[in-house]
Amino acid sequence: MMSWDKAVADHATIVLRVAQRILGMGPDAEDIAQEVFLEAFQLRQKEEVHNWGGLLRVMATRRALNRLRDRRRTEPLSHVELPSGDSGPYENAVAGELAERLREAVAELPDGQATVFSLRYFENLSYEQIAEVLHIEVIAVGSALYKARAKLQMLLKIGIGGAKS
Amino acid sequence: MNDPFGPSTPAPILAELAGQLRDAVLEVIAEPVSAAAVLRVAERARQLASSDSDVAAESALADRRNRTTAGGWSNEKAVLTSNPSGGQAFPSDDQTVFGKDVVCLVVEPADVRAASPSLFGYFSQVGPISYFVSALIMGFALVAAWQYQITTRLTRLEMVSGIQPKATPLPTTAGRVSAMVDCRLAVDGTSSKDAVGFHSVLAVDSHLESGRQIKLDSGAMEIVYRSGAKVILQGPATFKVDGNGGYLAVGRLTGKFNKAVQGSGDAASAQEASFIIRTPTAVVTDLGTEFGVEVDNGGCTTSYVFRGRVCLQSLLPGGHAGELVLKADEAGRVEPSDGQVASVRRVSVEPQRFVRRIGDRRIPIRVFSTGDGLAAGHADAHWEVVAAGDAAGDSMQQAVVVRSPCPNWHATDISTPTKWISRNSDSYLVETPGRVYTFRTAFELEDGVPGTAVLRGNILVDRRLLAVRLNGRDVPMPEQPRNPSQWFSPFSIAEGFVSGMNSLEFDVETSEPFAGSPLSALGLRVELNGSVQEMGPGE
Repeated sequence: MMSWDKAVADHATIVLRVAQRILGMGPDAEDIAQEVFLEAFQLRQKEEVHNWGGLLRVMATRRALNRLRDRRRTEPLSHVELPSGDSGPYENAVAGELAERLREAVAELPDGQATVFSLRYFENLSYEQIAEVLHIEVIAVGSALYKARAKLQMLLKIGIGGAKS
Repeated sequence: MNDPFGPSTPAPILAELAGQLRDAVLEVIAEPVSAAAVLRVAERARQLASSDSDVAAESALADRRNRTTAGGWSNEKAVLTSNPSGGQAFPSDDQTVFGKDVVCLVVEPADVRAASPSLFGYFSQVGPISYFVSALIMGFALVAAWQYQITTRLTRLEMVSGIQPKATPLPTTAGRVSAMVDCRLAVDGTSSKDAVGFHSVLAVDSHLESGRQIKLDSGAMEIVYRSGAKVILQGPATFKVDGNGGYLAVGRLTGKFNKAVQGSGDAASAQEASFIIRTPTAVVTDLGTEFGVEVDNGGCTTSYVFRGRVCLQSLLPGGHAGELVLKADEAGRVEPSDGQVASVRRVSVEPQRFVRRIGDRRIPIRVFSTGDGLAAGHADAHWEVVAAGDAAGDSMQQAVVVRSPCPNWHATDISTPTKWISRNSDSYLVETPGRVYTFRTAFELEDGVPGTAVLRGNILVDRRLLAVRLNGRDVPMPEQPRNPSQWFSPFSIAEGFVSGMNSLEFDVETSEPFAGSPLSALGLRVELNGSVQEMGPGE
């Protein structure tokens, strides 16, 4: 059984990274990382954990997505106009805003799609790994990703507000 | 690999995305993770286990307290009560188990509490007064005990949760990690043992106390000392940090120390204020210079000087004459076999072996996944296949993208542009069951530092992968699943690269013959990508 210290040492960076990629840099990500370790610690006292990497990623992803949605309910969206077309000086200047727009769009996805999308593209997990940690079929992973990509493409193209209206 | 979900191959995955979505994902994953935040998270997580079991409950309470402070729970009050059910407790989100004694954390909105029925009214109507007095005494006792507990718990709470973090002085440090490129540390990939044997995460800006041991499996790590000296450690290497230098047990490093030492340059005067690298067989004293040190598994120490001077001393018995002052472009060596410092010879060591600059700029290695962008039946110009044992070149032929892959193979899908390759285009079948074939590809390292190159990939084979070789030398095999033709196996290669052309080979054994047929299956599918530290000016 992996010791707690080793599990923490192995995965502290990963958990914080998962949270940060969903929430962006800031205190929220650190907060989520601590909540995840607390939950994991309590879980560990009840049962043996066989796949720390998968468990912590899923816990961090779900908690971070919840926090992302909570944040969206309390904070107004930033309305950043995205450039369209080919790259240019303006596009380069606002490139950093793309990440924030993506997070806003991910918060619009249904929970399952958002989780699968985050694990796939933020954490580079394979279809099989995602299926394993979420206890779903591989085909369901593919389906969720397909829908998530399509919706995110649309949201990024027309803007969150446009999609809602 | 400890974490089966470790970073794999972002490039093929990102190929699934397009346009702004791809750019946005790239933006997100490019954001660095704060090393200081990682350390804070890890430290607090460790403290969960360092205290007794009710720490977790206290942290939950702290979490609630934080929320209350933040305003989200401003109308709620937390009270601790004994188990109200009098029997089995069912801890939920609002209930937490404190060790063996079940205590429930009940969160009640203030207005609900105010609307509770009056206890006084109840006892005045139906109960004897003695019950009431007893209950009152018990109540006072519980409140006193509760206040005592809360006081002590909150003191610890503050320590655990960091509500009021107490300033802890930083230990005396020898230096800090200033850069990391594709670092993989031994034991668990991210941490190393500190001076007292405690594992902690190493990241950029991590402080390194004297005595910290770093076992670097691969990648490169730059350490900046308080004196201003720099060391670039190249994996695989084992290095222990000292106040101004360190002990290199095995591996390679490049040291840079600009403080010029005045005087005769002899070792005795230099060691007082110089940067010193010790090895099992030698002491390399920097006399204001840039130099490389390499220790092989046999303990042989080699030092090469890029500029300035170093003093190389043998620690081997009998090596009285073993002290040399090396100048630019000179190399010296201490051979354990004869106990003497080898003769000085000009550029006897390839300077490219030592990384002199480490930064953020890595350039991709132009490698070729199998069948990438090719239609079924087409020859793959980047991959060759030959039966093992055949004279090289005699039967070497271009691999081809299999037109009709075996139904049992992992299907080509949108997740990766790679395709199955084999010996024949029309069929995955070959007439040599149980035979070994070598698939070979080549790539060039022109503008990168070979010691920093990393190749990553995923592989599918039918039937069995027997060996992976880089430039003719075996490299660690990927862990193979039960059915390697259906499940990708991730692998990475971080050593054995050379400047110029490199050759990567996979030995694949064909399957047993199919029932009633002399034929067997042969196939390979590899996703490949890699990067290397860009060579700096003058390197």
